[in-house]
Amino acid sequence: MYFGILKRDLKRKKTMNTILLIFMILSVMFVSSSVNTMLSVMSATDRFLDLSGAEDYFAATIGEKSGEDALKKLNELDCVSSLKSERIFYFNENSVKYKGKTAEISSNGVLNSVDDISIRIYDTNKNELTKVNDGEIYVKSSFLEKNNIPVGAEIEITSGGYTGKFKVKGTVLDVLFGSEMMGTPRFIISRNEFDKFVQSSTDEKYDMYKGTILNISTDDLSKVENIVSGIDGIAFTGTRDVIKLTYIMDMITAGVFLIVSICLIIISLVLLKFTIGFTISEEYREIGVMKAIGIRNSKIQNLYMVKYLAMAIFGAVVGFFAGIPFGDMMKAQSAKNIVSGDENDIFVNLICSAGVVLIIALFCRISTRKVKKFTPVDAIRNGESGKRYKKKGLLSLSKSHTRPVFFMAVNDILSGFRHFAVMTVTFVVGILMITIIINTISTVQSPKLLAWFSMADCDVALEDKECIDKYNRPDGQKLRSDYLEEMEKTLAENNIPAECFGEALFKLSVQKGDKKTVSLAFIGSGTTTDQYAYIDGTPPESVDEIAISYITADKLNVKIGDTVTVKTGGENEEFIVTALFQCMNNMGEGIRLSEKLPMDFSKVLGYFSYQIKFTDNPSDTEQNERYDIIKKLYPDYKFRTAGEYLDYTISGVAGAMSGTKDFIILMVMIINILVVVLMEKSFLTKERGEIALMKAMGFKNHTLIAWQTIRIALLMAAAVIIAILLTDPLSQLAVGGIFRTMGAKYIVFDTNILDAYIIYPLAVFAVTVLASMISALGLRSISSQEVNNIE
Amino acid sequence: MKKILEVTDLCKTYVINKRQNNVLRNVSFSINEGEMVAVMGPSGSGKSTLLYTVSGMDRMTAGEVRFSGKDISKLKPNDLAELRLDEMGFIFQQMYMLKNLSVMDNILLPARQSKNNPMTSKEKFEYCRELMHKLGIIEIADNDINEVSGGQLQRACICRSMINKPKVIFADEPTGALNRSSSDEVMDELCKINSEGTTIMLVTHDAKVAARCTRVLYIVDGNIKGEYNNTESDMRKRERSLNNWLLEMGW
Ligand SMILES: Nc1ncnc2c1ncn2[C@@H]1O[C@H](COP(=O)(O)OP(=O)(O)OP(=O)(O)O)[C@@H](O)[C@H]1O
Ligand SMILES: [Mg+2]
Repeated sequence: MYFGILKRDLKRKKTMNTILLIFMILSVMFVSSSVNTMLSVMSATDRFLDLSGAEDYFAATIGEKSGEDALKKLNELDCVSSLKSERIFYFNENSVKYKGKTAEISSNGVLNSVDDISIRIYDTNKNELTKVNDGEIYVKSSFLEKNNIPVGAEIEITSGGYTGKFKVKGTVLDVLFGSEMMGTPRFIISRNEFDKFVQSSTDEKYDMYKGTILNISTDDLSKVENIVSGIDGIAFTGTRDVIKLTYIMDMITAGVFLIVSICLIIISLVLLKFTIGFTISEEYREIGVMKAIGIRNSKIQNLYMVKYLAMAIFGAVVGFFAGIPFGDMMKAQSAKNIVSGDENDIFVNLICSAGVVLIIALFCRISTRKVKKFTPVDAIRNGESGKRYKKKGLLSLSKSHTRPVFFMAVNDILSGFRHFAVMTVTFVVGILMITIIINTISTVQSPKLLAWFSMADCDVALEDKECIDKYNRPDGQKLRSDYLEEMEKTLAENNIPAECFGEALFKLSVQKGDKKTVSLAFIGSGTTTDQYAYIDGTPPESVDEIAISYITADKLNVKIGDTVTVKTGGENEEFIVTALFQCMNNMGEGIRLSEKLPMDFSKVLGYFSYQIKFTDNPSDTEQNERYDIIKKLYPDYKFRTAGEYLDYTISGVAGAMSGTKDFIILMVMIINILVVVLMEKSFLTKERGEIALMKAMGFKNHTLIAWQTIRIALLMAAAVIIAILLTDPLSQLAVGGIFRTMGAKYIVFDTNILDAYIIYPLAVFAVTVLASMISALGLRSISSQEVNNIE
Repeated sequence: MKKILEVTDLCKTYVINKRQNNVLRNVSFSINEGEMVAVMGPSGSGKSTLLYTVSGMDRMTAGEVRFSGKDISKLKPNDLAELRLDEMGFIFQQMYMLKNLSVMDNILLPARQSKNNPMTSKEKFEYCRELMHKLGIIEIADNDINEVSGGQLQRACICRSMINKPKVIFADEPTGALNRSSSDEVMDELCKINSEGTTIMLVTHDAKVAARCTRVLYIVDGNIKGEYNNTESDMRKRERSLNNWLLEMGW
């Protein structure tokens, strides 16, 4: 008899079983591959650091003297057990030319000689790169991709007093500069070529092109940090952990898939509960008979579990194997900048698959507990027929004025609330995936986010690649603000009322008591400090006031009102903290100085684009016209709207997410179609008698189809509303975490109401309702005579 | 007398696994307005099939069925559904009702669904209460359908079949699942409804039930083998002579 029940079930519920299986396979596949990818990328980053010979702490200096200074000071330290250094030669964003045109690079770059490098680097075949011929160059792979440069092409690099021509020999895997998040590219050339750059740049004005990278092994990080922060001309510092963190963005696809797979597991469990509940209540007769002849509850439970467990195991096996190539694909993408990222740890896949099976088994055990509720008599007599849901009569047809089918749909949902709630959950999960990703994309692209990157709100960003050449001189501050004023005038003459401003970045040592850190320092030209966003306090007004990022504040244990010492190189070194802000530059460390503070711009680390803010709230069409005018006025600058600029700043996260967005929307639709087909199938089985009865009484097919469809539509509508309400809190939880690791604390998501709450939910709604209508068509084949075959 | 149902040469064939099963073979009969006709016969003789075919629930294979003058074989499924909703009532052996609705809502449902019922919602509600009152089930109006007895439920089904004031009520073994006394009560109600003018065609295995009808059709192997008119007025004699006739028929 046991086998009979199983066999009949497998045959009769073909569609339901298939759909369940699909969900199980997909969950296992996604979980195992995404977990595997994330784990292996994370551990691979570690191994990559080891392989490369990376030590505990890195620092990069600007200028020959500061490098020597750093070496001397660090060598004196006891806690430094090994100290490797390498010469580097900086080049500007605009200094690489391909086919006569300036190539796109997101920030300053670094040239290294292969013989000098202090870590091991690798070529694309993952062999250590030890030799580069004269006239050849190895570059970062994303540089080639971005500029469409093929291997073998010739590029030209001008820096300091020398211009060199190089044949691109290949790409390099470089732990320090390799991640997508690390904007600075490092190119590798031969020592001879490197020396040509150095020897042609003996002039004092080229000093800032020469730098040193220090690779420090120590058992006292804070002491080293302290010493390093006391050195002038530090361009970059990072612990091993910070370098590891830069690879997070490389894993974003895997992260999205992990979230999707969690959703899939939830949906699988929900469907499982639904199907088990349905099967058991449908087979109360068999259960009753089994109980009557004295079979124990647990035995009956096992009978039902066996099937789902078998399905889960089958699903896990298929998912496991499907997950391997899928994971490889994901890894190839996520670990393309890592030497050791593509080892497949089958063990992780195994554990994940087994984990999913275990969860399903546990869940089955819980879901089949219902078997115990039936007493033999109860089961034989009336089974499920309504007893489960106590008091109905919530609504009454006699008191309502709606159409009977609508009334019945609402009444059904209220009567079988738990049952239908289960379905709503799956819909909610799907819609949430869509709303969260859309809102994240629009947040990442919204001008609001500029504030998180320590920039004032603007409409247009113009990138001038020659900023360093133009302004890195003692009087640069005045030059720059004069230029911005002139720009305002030019725009006004072209009927564009606007403010122009920009940011300059320094790396300054900040100290409070015995606590010290090197922090990014922002100083505006053409702005006032109240144009920026603060979390707490009032914007710095006078030159001896300062705003400080909360992460830096935490590090130094500083509160508003405290005084900190900043090595500005000028007269003012004591500043009163008046405000706290958050920034996602440099992992959340930053300070903002008053724009009135005189600074020596020859020490500037870099500049953000010139920013233009229209002062008269122009309409969209007007804005577009202005964009064209600005492009014509400043053809040498790279034009970006604020949104484009942000996307560019966080290295195309929005673009990557937009890709996954389409995939997720498609997936949610498919999931919903599958769920609806499964549910509708079970409804048609369960309500066969009622449908036959209504047909006998004279209800038309389309009326009954409407009844079935309205129910799903109502659930779907409820799901949309619930999902919209949950979007923000869950976005904070899921996506907020990523921003938090980047240094943001208070995240306000930008809501794209039209897309997130109207268009896409409506599309999913339409698809789902259509699917339910099509599957409800199945009721046409139910004949009114079947009313007499009903128990 | 006006004929409400005229059946000529009705055939119904089921094909299962390429094997033909001629369940109804050239059945002809007619029912006048106000009659109460019982259909009897051995199990599997095609009684239920006959009932479903003449009421348009099932398609006929050949022949003609006229329901108050209309040829129902010519009607489209939706028109048939409408006809059943407005002009026919159904009672089944199993007192099947929608389990999510209360007893009263179950009764009211066809009335609310009907577009041709001229009563307002309020009138329908009043009529529903009136019917339930008449059949003595008004006190279970708001009950759940599994909170009432079989007899009560069957009376509720009768109310439901009456709610749109149909011309004919078709009943397939309406007392089949009831004990003697409940069965008698249900038959009392049906007779009362019939005496108030509604035509009834019912299938039964119970001679006592058949005896209360005006006419009995006896079916064997898909053919009407005989027809019997209950003319006696005394109930006892009526039952006895019907039983004799049934014995003749091979009951
Ligand atoms: N849907 C169907 N498909 C195929 N054959 C059917 C179908 N319904 C009924 N039959 C066959 O038609 C014949 C008559 O069935 P029907 O239900 O009309 O008998 P009945 O006289 O009502 O019997 P009972 O007194 O047992 O209810 C039977 O042989 C049955 O097997
Ligand atoms: Mg029958």
